[in-house]
Amino acid sequence: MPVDKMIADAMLGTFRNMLQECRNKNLSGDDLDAMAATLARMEQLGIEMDDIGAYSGMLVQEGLFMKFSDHYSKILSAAAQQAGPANSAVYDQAADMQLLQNTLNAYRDVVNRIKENKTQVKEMLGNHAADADVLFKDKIIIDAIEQLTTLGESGISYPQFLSQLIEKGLDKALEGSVVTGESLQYLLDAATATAANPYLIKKEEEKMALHKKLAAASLVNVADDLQFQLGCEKIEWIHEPDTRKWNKIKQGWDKTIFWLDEWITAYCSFAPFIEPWAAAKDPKEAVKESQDCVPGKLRTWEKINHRYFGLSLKELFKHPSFAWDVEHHGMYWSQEYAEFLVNDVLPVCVPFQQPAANLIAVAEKMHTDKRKVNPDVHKPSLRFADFFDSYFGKGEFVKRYGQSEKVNSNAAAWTGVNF
Amino acid sequence: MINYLEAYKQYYFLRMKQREGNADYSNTYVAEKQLFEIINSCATLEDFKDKIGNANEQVAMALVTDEQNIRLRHYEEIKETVKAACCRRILDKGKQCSNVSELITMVNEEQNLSNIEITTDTIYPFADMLYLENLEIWEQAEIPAAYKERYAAYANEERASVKNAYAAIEKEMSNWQPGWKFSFEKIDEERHRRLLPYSNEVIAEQKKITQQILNK
Repeated sequence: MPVDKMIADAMLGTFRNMLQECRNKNLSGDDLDAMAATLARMEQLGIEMDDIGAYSGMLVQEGLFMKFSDHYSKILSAAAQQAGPANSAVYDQAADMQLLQNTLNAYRDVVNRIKENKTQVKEMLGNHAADADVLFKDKIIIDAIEQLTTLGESGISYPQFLSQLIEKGLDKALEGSVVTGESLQYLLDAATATAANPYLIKKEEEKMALHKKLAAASLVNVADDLQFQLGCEKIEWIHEPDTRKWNKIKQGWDKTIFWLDEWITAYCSFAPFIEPWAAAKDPKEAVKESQDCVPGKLRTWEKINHRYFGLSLKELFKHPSFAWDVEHHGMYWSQEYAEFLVNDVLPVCVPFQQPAANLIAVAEKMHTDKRKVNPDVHKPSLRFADFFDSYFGKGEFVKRYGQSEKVNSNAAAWTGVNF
Repeated sequence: MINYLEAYKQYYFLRMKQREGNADYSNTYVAEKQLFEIINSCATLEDFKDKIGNANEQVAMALVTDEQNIRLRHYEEIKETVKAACCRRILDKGKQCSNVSELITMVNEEQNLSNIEITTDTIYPFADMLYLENLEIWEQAEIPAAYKERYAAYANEERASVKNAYAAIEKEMSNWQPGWKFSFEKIDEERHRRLLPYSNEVIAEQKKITQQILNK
């Protein structure tokens, strides 16, 4: 069975268009034949293979994308040379005009291709076509190219045109327009709205600062593309170890609080009638297993985390990742329930022990009083909706993804972490 | 009437000046300077056509050299050896390229190879300790005797999951590099090791347990 047609079309569409473009220009020769043969091989593999991973791997292993692009560059370059005055014996005004026009036409082709691509994206987005205007900052690059073409049409010679590109920094403006301050601000705003961890935000802030610094160092206020690219890579490299440690410690307290809730709730009279036990084949037996086995699992988890980070379960909750989640409303449980679990339940959750009756009574009451869940647990969704609306229009988030319902909780909002 | 020769001299002069004093682009500057000196010595554009030889191509080749050197320094600094190796290969092979077309083909080939090397430079699923943590929990948790048999079965399922995960990554990576095998040595290489937030003792123990499960 061949690779899914939609996926193959998405992967090969650009290459089919590039080949067609060359045929439309009546180009021919070894490079065109090689392009056609390479595309035919890509199409053939798409028919022979059914696994998309294996198909992508094979395209790269055989270097087919690379070979196709290589021949495409060569055929266009040869065509440009043929069209130019290189073979003419004298460099006169006609030859100069010809060179200038070839260059300007190439730039106009680029503008047309950018516009065509955006039109295609808009078609794909259907009702949300306007999103493309937010996400694709094509105006800045089109403006830069139009400045070039205007300059080229101002009656100057080709060498004067080339000189002015350098003098006015228009060549750099073109390079630097790929990444814009606006797109970096979008990524920073998205990271801030998501607030998954501080490093995510810090990385975007640092990239933005780097972009500004490099732009300020340039005569034309455009960041050097290579320096920016490598600088971003370094920023990611610097923060990745801390991000992984943060996430692993978060996993430590997250699983702990999950098991503490499971254990104490398993002793509540209604346990067999609520999730997760109600869904079990034998809810009462499942409740008994939670009562009997969670403490053993929890204490093994404690040993694992102590071995990893030298932290007890209680100490895991003192890690900044817990306070961060509380501050950003990422905590599912309410403050009073979390404090109850960590301060009162955790010390007695040990193998072969049962919680005292008063603890079970507290858990039952918090459950029936609906005080277990963080009343602000919906706020991350609201925060993200605000970010989304700020870019895509007021009310757009709710229109597309629905209203985030406020949870039915009688608990007070978190005011701090008291473990 | 435009003096094309003078206009081109001005253009090549500007190109040269753009790189002057920039240590990162010293090779490009030398090549640009050579190109400018050639045109500056010409009395007509036709002379320039006769004298230019491959000086223009030398500029492009010098630019590739300078940019690869910038990348190489960056990857050496952050000890990304796989990415640095690609820069080194391009720099070595670039010396043997006689024209820009050859150079572009070589750079594309090396970058294609590098993409495969980067994709297959993975220590997943070792980096995800979840399987071994679950295994330890099923095997070590203090639980009543009535559950021992059930938990032993869970532990066996977890061992099977470990084997499946390693088999799956070997199958996936073989799509990119036929015959790819998971390398336990790679775990200790700095670019991977620095991302694991555990002590050497923890890593060594987890490696030992995984190798026992996989019979490796």
